[in-house]
Amino acid sequence: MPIIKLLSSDEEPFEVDVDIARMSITLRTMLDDLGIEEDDGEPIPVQNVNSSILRKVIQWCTYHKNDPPTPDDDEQREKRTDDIPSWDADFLKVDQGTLFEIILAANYLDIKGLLDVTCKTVANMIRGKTPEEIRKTFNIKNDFTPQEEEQIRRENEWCEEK
Amino acid sequence: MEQGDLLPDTAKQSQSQKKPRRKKGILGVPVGNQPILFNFTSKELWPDEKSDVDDVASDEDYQPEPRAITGIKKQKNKISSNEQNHNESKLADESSSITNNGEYEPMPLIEESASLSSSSDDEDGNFHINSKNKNKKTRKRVIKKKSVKPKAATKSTRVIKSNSGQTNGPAISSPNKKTKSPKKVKNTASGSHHSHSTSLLDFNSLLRPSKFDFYQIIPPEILVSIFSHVLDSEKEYAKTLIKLSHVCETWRRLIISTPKLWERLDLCGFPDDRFPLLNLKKMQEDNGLFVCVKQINLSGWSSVNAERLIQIVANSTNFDLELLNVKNCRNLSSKFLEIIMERFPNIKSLDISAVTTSSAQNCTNPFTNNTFRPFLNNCGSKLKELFMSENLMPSFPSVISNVMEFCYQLEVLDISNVASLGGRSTSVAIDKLQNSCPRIRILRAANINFTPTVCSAATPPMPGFPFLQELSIPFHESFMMTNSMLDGNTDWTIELLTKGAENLKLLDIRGSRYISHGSLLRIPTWSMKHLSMSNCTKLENESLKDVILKWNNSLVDIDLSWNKSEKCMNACANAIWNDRDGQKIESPLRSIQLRGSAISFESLRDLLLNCPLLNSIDLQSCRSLPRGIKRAYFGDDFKQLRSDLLQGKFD
Repeated sequence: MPIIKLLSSDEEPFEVDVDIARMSITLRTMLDDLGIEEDDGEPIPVQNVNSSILRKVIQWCTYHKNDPPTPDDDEQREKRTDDIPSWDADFLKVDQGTLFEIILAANYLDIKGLLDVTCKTVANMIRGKTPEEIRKTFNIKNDFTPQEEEQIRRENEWCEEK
Repeated sequence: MEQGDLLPDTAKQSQSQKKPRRKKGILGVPVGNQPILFNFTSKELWPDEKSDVDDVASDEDYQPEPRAITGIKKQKNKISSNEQNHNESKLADESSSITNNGEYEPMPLIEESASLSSSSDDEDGNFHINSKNKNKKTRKRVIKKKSVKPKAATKSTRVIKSNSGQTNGPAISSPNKKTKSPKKVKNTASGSHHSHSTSLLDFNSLLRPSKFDFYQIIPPEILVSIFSHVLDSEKEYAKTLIKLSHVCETWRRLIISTPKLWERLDLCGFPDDRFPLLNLKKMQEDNGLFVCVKQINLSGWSSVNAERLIQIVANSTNFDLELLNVKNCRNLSSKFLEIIMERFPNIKSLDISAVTTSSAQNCTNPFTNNTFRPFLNNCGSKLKELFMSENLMPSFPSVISNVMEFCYQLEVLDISNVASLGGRSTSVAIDKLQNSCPRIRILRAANINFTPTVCSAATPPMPGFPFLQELSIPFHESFMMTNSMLDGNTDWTIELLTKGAENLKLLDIRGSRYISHGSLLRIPTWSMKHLSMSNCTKLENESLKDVILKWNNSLVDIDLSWNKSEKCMNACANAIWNDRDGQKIESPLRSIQLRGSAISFESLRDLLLNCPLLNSIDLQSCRSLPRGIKRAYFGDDFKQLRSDLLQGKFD
């Protein structure tokens, strides 16, 4: 199995199977464009993803490397949100910061399956909650001063349709 | 002779003399707040897995109205599945009567919806205890790391944002946000004290900037996908979107600028007389917010407002609409069908139940041949679901023949309680229907006569309904009384209708005087789950136990109300938990209605103690039972009843 080297944003090298790296559309495109088939000594930099997150991503890809290709959007939608495989659920039992960073990494690397399952996880944290509870969950604080609030209130009187 | 009786007014008069408080449905059938012994809509709970808590709500084929009233009832006492269904069938009429009497009060609705959301919260809590606990833990950790984390994440966000911002057209632009909230420094701890009095039914709140905002780590297109997942799992889409928009300013802006999130415009339950149609129009004009709409639910709206809203969406949409529900929008005009025809040619599911009024319609009845026929001619071939129950039609025969002519893909057909002005010929020829609509899965036809074909060697064999899952053909007593004694389904009709129906799961034949156990035994399915056969006089003998024995491994819900034969009742009760040889079986039964039946106390006790899954029973007016036991039980009440029986309380 050919192996290539990836370099995280904090410059930690990772050795991965080409097949696993190719689960990322971003990396696949890059490998194809550069004509790289196996390790030629030059590590591929993965900007935006630090080593701890890259490790998680590789771990996920390794587990899911034999998955059938992800179905199209339409079919995907019919699946229920709480339908998260138990391995993935365990894998995503991380703190919120890490979860969000995995989402960003999955988005950057374009790994649809991982992005999907992480989004579902966040959706599960949201659903059934009141706005107040959602804010608490995501630690959202009020940014406005009372004066600003008053300003906003006045600005919006127009949209009250009587 | 019967025409006059069929008309609601006469029926109303005759019935209201006896019981003035009862509300009347279109056929003079009593409906309303009082417990009714007869309800017309089907009782199915799909899917099978969830029959305990919110079976009906989570059901896909059978979509109940997401009305606050239902929610409240469900929340208060987790009414047994049946009771719930009773309520639901009543709901349609209740709501219509509310609008008719002008007693519509939006305020309680709002409160109800508020508590509704909290109740769904609780339910979720039960399902996701683990994940919630997990969240708590993570929250603490995040707070600790807070000073570090967001910054780290922010950097990477910016890169991605700039990459992706272009692809996502209507994304929030950060400069805008900054103008709204220049002082990012102040993290007032008082944030949590701002109570949100804004109701989820307040559509205007979508146009009001939120008091909250925070730096978004997650780029907008991913937020959209997260919101889509949330919407998929919550039933009331518009309310959910409004709720999400209350969280913070960025989310609100995203929501009112992303048409993809508005595929399902579910405005049922919104007070339509105060609905900000102008604002809705503005949102459409500003952001093209409703170009992706695929489903519209306006059930319970007044027809005038419903038509206005549909017009707004129709002007913008790209012919994608698949589902339209205007149930209970009374006095709908024929123009409405023309809009659908022109703008929504790909419609797959149409609910126009209870859209006509019993008195003189102000505008043209949508079921006139001049309107309905061209409509089906255009859209009929794509229709998969057509609900048109509780309507007064100029001519039912021509409506049903149009359906049979054009709707060959139809899977769900509801023609319950339709009345025809031109005579009492509310009957359907079975062979024609089976030949024209062979894919029927759900057939609901309360108080409709089916005319069987005379079978001879010359006629080709009947095709049957090979996909039939749900057959609901009850008759109401009062309907029978006022009509010819020949009314009602017979063994022959049952046999023809259920031919080939190997997957039939629900059969509702309440009030059928001529059906005997023999035809039930010949139904080809082996997995009947819901069986309603109250008021079936010909079934009141001991042979009925064979019917129960045939399906006792699958029956989840049985209605044997008003069965006056004690022998029959005791044999049936016994057959529920015993096989043919008297060996005990694991009965899947969850609910049974025995109201007004002749069941004996011993049979009842054995039944309760031998059906472990049973959690709902109706024992009102059971004459043979001891005092104090004759009422309906579900939930905790039911548990109490079972333990009382174990301790011999009623012996």
